[in-house]
Amino acid sequence: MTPPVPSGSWPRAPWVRRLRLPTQPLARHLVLALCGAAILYAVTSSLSPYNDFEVGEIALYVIALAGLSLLTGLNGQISLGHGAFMAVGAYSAALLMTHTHLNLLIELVAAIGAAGLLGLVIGIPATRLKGPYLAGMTLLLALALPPIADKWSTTFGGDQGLTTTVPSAPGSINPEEWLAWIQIVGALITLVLLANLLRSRYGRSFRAVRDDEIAASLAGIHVARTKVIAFVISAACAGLAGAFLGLSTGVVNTGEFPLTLSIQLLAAMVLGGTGTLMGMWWGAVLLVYLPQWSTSLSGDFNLGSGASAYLATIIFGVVLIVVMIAAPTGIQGGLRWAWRRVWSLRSGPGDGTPTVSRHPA
Amino acid sequence: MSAPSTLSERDGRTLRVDELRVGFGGVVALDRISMSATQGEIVGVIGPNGAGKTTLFNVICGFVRADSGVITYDGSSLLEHHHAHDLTELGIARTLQGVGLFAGLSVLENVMIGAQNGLRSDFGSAMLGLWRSSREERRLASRAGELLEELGVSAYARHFPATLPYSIQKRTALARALIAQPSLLLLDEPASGLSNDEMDELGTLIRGLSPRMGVLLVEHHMDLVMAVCDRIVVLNFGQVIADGTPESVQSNPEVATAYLGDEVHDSVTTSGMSENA
Repeated sequence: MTPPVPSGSWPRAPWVRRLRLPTQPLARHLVLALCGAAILYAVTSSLSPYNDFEVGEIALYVIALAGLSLLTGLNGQISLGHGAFMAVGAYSAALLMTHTHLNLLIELVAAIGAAGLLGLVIGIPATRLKGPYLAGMTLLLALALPPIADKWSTTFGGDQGLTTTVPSAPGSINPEEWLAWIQIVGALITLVLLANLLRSRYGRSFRAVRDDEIAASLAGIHVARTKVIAFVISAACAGLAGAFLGLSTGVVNTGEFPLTLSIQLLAAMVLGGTGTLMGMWWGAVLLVYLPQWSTSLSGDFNLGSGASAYLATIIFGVVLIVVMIAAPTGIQGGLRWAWRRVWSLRSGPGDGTPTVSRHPA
Repeated sequence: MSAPSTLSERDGRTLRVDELRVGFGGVVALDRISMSATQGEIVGVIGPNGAGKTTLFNVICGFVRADSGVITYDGSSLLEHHHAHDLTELGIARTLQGVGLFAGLSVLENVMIGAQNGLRSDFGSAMLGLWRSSREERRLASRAGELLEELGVSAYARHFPATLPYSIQKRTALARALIAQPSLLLLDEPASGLSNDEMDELGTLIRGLSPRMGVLLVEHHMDLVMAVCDRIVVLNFGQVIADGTPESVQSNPEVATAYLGDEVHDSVTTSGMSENA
């Protein structure tokens, strides 16, 4: 046997070493979520109501992207149809809002359930499809679903769509901040649950099936079941995100869920860091702010309104290409790399053993 | 056709292949072969390339359907369980040609995955991250760590397979098969790519497994097969042409003409490095 390579661990500064996170998944992820909540609380209370609204949108996209990251990054199933799952979630919640007076929580659970159910229906045949074929099938879903809503316009509201209502904010909290917090709490809960799952045998099975289906089945993993579970979870996340999007926009119509949404979700997931959960925050920030930046940019260059609509897509593409060249593992991957470099330089030459362990969460 | 096994078949669980026939289109890959392997016994399956060795493994694992015949393990039919993932529950584990490790999982996780079917914590407790699930996870990790320790590769537990020497990867793959504590282990060319010293270590390791489990060994390195196996089944053109002790197989004229004569000569003169079987 060759002598063992020194098993590297994360080089950390002394104060970080003292502040070690608990290893128990629930405790660990709750601590992280509470830290995130504290940061976001500081952010939302210092921002204007309009910016709070945007923070809420970021949070809802994080939910959809985290589900997509699990499906594509960790389970190897590509989906170009996540906009359709968002639409199903949005319409389910909006239908309940127009016809019943249930608690928002129940409406959200219904949105999760409906999208998860569609995920099951799509996920079962998806187990037999690979790469481009699966992409094609999910693409069809994104294309085929909106016309259904147009066809039964009395039920789904046609072009006008269905209106949604946000429960009134308690006390003196302004409505934008209240909605943002509903969405942030939804995102944090989703992230905690997904992170727990990824730290369990299910997360390991997802990755094993992605890497080698034959070896996975010999290890006793039910490959098809594992892929369906990943698909359902991912679709359910998109459903929740869709219901939240409906709350943000106030109406749910087919125009909100174009094919470009599905493609932008995939691009934002790759930008953030495929297979990571934390990286989805970066992806969601880009998803919300890139269109705005490009609009103001096209204003600076005096481009017409037609051109500025395309500019967002073009900029998205350019950013995607640049990030993929600079950091092939996405923004989160690039940050991790930079963080390791910094600490390995700090701890002196020779001591900076390359890290060999990573965790998906 | 099958020779008497070294242990009484009543003592352990037995894999029994009876009149198995497998064809791919017009080609007959396995032509009514019969053989057996019992817990505690190391059975080598040898034969020239294309003789049907890997096909035999693939039928046992449910990757390839049989046209006719019977395969039973411990009395239950394997042809009715068409799924590979059911095998671990029956106590059968298999390593793949090459290594078949998961590139995105650390060495420790690669080993852990071999036994996670035995875990009892459900989806809900995994998602909620409850102690019930994480405690089980910790126990599994320490079991995998112990096994890596036994195989002398625990220093690599946190590394990813692609960065490691081939022999370490091979051991990791073996550990993944062993952690499920199988009663029958199917080894598909475990010695390919190993040095002579590493092959000797592998031989000792396989011998050490035999009281606990049956081993079915497909291997091209005749030195290893002759040194390790209690019994050898020789396949040629999908048929069993010999089944017996290493000595009887070596002295079998039919085997010599079909395959073994040159091979044994080769492998002895070139210290077992011959790969051109």
